[in-house]
Amino acid sequence: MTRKKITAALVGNPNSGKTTIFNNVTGGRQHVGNYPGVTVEKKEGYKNLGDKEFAIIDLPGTYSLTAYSQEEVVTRNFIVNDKPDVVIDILDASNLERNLYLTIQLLELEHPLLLALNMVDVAEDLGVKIDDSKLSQCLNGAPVVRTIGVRNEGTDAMLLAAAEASDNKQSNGFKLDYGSDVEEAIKKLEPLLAALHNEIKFPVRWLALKLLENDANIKKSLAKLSNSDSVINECDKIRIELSHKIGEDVELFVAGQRYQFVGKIYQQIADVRDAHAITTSDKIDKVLTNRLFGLPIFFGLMWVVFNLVFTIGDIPSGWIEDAFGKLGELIGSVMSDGPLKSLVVDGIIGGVGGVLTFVPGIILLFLAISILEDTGYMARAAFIMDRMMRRFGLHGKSFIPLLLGFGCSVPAIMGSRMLENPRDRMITILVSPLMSCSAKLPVYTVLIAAFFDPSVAGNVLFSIYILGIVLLMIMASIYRKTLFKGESEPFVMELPPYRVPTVKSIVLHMWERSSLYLKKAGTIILAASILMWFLTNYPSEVEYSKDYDALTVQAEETYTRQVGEEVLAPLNIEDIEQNEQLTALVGEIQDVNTEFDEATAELEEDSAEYAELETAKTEKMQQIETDNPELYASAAKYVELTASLEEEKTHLENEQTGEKLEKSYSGQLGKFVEPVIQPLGFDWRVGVSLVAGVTAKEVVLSTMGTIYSLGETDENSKSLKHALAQDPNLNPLVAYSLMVFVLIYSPCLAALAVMKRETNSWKWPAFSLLYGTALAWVVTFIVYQGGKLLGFGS
Amino acid sequence: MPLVFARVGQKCIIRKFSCSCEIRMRMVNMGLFPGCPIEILNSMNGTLLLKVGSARVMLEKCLAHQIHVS
Repeated sequence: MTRKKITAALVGNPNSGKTTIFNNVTGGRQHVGNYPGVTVEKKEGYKNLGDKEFAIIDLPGTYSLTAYSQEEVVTRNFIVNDKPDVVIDILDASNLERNLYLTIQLLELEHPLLLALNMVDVAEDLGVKIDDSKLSQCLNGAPVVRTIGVRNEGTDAMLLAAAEASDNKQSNGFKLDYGSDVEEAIKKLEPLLAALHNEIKFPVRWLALKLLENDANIKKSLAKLSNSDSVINECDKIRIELSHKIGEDVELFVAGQRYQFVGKIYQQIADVRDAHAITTSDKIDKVLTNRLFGLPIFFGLMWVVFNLVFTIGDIPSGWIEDAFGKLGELIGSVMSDGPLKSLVVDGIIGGVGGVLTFVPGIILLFLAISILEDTGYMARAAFIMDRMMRRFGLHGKSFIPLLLGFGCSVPAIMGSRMLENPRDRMITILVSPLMSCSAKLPVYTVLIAAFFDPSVAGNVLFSIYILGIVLLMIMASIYRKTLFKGESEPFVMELPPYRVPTVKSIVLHMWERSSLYLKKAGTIILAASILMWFLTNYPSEVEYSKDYDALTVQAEETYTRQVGEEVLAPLNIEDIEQNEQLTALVGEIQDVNTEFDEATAELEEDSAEYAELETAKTEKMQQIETDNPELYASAAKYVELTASLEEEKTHLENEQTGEKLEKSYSGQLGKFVEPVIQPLGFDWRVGVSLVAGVTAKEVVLSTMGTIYSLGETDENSKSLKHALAQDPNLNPLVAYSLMVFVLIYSPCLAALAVMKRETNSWKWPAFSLLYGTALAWVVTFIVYQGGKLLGFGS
Repeated sequence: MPLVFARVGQKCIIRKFSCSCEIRMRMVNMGLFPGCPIEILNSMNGTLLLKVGSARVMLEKCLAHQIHVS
């Protein structure tokens, strides 16, 4: 069966329940993109109903069709340029008067229109009854349907009515009389514009009205046409004449006329029982936006969100990490050794796994944001924080993305989308990487553990966090005064009534954003991990300063000889397995050792617990010795020799990896940047780590581990701590400088990728990379050189 | 009088604006037009919570200076 295709655009005020209807109707069948050149999301979904296939476009929520916001311009351009078969105007029945203001303007676009009275249940609870047939009458017979979006009631009927309305290609001829003065001016303008009409798709009467309203966007597109100069001049003349005649801006007058008309209709169609009732929503607001409790409640909620995201999120992150580790091993065991295996296991699986470990946190974060948004609390949070943020050039709503920056810059940058004003949004995006994200934390903790006394460790860490916040405030004020001059957007915002959100809408919301993160940032992180893999593994043939293979063989030979001389010869055997008792004893001793190592893996050597375990181990050994007086010495010797061989081999292997890295492209890069970072107290090793750390900040640590020939390294690594502490180039001052540098310098690749996505240009990520690194250099220089002058350098 | 001087709980009618074009029209689009009755529901450090028709609108102090009501 071929279905008749119908495109329907959903238009409506913010909070009119438009998106809920869209989600309920289309279910999962939707596609999210961006309108070209703006950060307004473009959502399209599909639905089959009977013999019809609907393509439904969810246009951004808008109050009007003027040119004062991206949303308004996107909406009107879409209707006129893309010509959907029908426009469905979703109206909040509980707030109908203001919603009808948009309806009037939609009718003036002369496009088939269906009115959907949504949330009729809410309206009735508030004591508002609406007569839809009378409403239709007042608007020249425009069709009206009723829906309850949250329960998906009436939406099928809505689509069928929309299909019917779309058959009617003509508009219904609705015209609002703006009074003789305006109408006269429109009459004068119409013939002038009709001449240009072939090239402009807007209706002539609408164009005339917009020009009288002095609509900047329309004037700009008119100016692009040939021969339009005289028309524009004439329009300006007529507009100025008119505004003198009516005594105010035409724009304001026209809006007033529309509101008057709407007010008259509303009186005819609505039966309002109690216009002054205090709603439940107002009562909740009395508490949540209370002068005294508002702020503490807000911080409490944020604390909950923060914990939810970054503690609970860690659990599935761990699973994903393990799963990818296993997958790597599995594939590693199947594939034969070689560069391809290394690329797949270390490069691709390691890289993709790295991206996916972020996902649980991100999904939870978006879950929390969706809940806060859908209940209506987010709008209140912005109100509560506004005064505080404004002091340093930010906006009330900036607080939420910045707070998220403590966890990860990626959601922070994406979260800044909620700021309407592009200047406010850009400043928030540029400063949010200055928050100490969770990937920087392991770098701090290892450096602090290596160079600072435990008694000051907490203060040192805290000082880095504070430094980030102070720099953020300074940079935000600087941006506000230079790059993004101009007042921050004055704060006027509608507060939607509190609502119990539906699970479906929250899940959809959350999934929509999470998949976007996966697709965009994921591809870039993947590419970066492959690049980093290449840079650290190539050139594959390097001239080593020592022959590591020969050294390994030599160590093994020494081992065999020593075992033969010291263990086997006295017992007159050739292999320890010839003596079952000895073999069993060796196993026993090794078990005790393994058990001890596992139990102490995360303990400090000077801790009381460690000492306790050590005593227990010695006791066990003594016990074994008394049980086997003849063989114990031989077995112990054997165990000791085997362990030292293993150690020797690992050491050689790590040394070889380290040397290979030093001579790899990334090592050469480190040497290349060394002169630049020398004034900060860093050598080439730190250089490589910092360069590698641009892919992700955790990588600073793992790269250092590789360079210091330690193999795998994480924040629990005691060995890296010791190796760092022993490096003569490093001291507490350099360590602190390094922390400062890691805090400030270029955002990681994932953050840069998202920045590109959110700003629609490579300019800003490039700027952020350069400014971040420059700022880091300057601040670290001051810290290091200043510290040296004060005598902290040794 | 400017809206800033109104007290919580007071009902008044918007008369005129004295602010720039862009923000003025944004307020008008949200339902704050001359002639429209409003009620002040709450105030926090000068930021106002208004009842406009059946909507609730938050307004910054500096804007409240620029709206004249009676």
